[in-house]
Amino acid sequence: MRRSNGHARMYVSKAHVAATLFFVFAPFAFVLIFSKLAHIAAPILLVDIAISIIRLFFGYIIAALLGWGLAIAFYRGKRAIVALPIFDVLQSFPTFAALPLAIWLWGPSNTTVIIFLVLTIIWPIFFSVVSAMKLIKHEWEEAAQIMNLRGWNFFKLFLLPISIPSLVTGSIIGLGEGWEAIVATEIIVGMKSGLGNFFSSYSANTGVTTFGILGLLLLIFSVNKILWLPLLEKTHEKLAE
Amino acid sequence: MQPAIILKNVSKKFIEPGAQDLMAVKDISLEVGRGEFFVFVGPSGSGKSTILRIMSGLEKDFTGELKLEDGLVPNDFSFVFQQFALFPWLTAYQNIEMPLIARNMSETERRHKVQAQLAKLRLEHVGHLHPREMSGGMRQRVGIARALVTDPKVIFMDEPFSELDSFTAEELRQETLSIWQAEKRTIIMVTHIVSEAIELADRIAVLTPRPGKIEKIVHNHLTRPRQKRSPEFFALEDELMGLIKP
Repeated sequence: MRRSNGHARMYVSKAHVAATLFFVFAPFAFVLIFSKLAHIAAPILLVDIAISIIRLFFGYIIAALLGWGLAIAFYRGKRAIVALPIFDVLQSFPTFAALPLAIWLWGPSNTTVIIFLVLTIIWPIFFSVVSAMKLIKHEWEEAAQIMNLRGWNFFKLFLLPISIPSLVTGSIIGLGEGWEAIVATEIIVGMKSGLGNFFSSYSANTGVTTFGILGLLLLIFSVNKILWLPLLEKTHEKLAE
Repeated sequence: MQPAIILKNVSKKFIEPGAQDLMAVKDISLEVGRGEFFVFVGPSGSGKSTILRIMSGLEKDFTGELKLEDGLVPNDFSFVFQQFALFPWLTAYQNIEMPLIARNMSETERRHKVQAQLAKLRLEHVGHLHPREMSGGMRQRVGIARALVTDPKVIFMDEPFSELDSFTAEELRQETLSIWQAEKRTIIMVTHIVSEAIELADRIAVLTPRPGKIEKIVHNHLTRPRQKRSPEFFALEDELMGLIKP
């Protein structure tokens, strides 16, 4: 007989609380010290970070809903045979090649940045969820079929719990690419706010750029450590047999 | 005995692109009576599980005819799986409750029915556990409780005891038998263990290897409870073993 593996306990230990607090405050402390040493106004830097995070958040939410929804709709059957090769081609499309067209259509705006974030983040989520759904145990599907689980109940009680761990995995990969895409897009589009603007403004200053990148890495690491990795562990544990 | 399910000339071919077509079962004709304990035995590849899936409606792509007794609908069926097929993200209680949710039953009614099954299968103390926290025997008890909770008229069982140790398997066989004798539901089961078939079945269909055809349907006239060490039991076992072709 197997017992709970105790993973959940580490998140209530004192050491973990201390580590969590460290990861919450470390990026802020870094920004404050960095802005002081680089003679940059901390509020401006914090606003740039916040604006990029908000853009990334909206891009991620749209990409997650779309990618996850499409994956659930197209993971099997005749629809999958037709749709998956098309999605595979689409995910190979070099997104930045369409950037001039997007700027022509929407200008250097939040819409342009968010659309590019969606196009970057959606594919890791989509393919992660599709792969997981294709590996659903046949007996689980038969059990759902024999108990006549359909419609909303089938979605809520069967598809949703099975797809959530892969949504988390896809989100981690997608957001990793999203951070890269947001800085690049903001620079190329010429946004007057956000981290792209910050890196663009200080591109001639190697020290500021280097520490800026280090600060960004610390922020990404902290978010992963506090949010995504525990979520990854918890959701995968739910599906463990 | 009035037939609950009738198969007429049922065949099933699996077609895989790029591979040779596989005839799993061929020209299967039989009737299973209402309240009967009917067992299929045969070697691996004889299509036992395929027939069970055709009869239960899980497999819809076949040739031939499947007829159900008047008034019998797929919602009257339930299934016990070889590897339990419990949903790992749900507790034992929630797994048993699932078919009732699918039938849009009220929460009060669901609670009443699930608790009755937990008591019947002696699972009251594990209702809050997830399948990964339970032994194989416990998991299959939950699987059986889930199959019984909807008051099905027909229960399909696909090698339900083959994943269990011999002691647990025997215990669950006896419990299945008690439930069947008390409730007189139709049970259609697949096994590759001849002694298990003799212990449980009213009739035993022996299948040939690929493609699966019916070699013979044997009436099991041994009186219940069946004595596994009796000469009659051994004689029937010998007869069935003689019919099974590897």
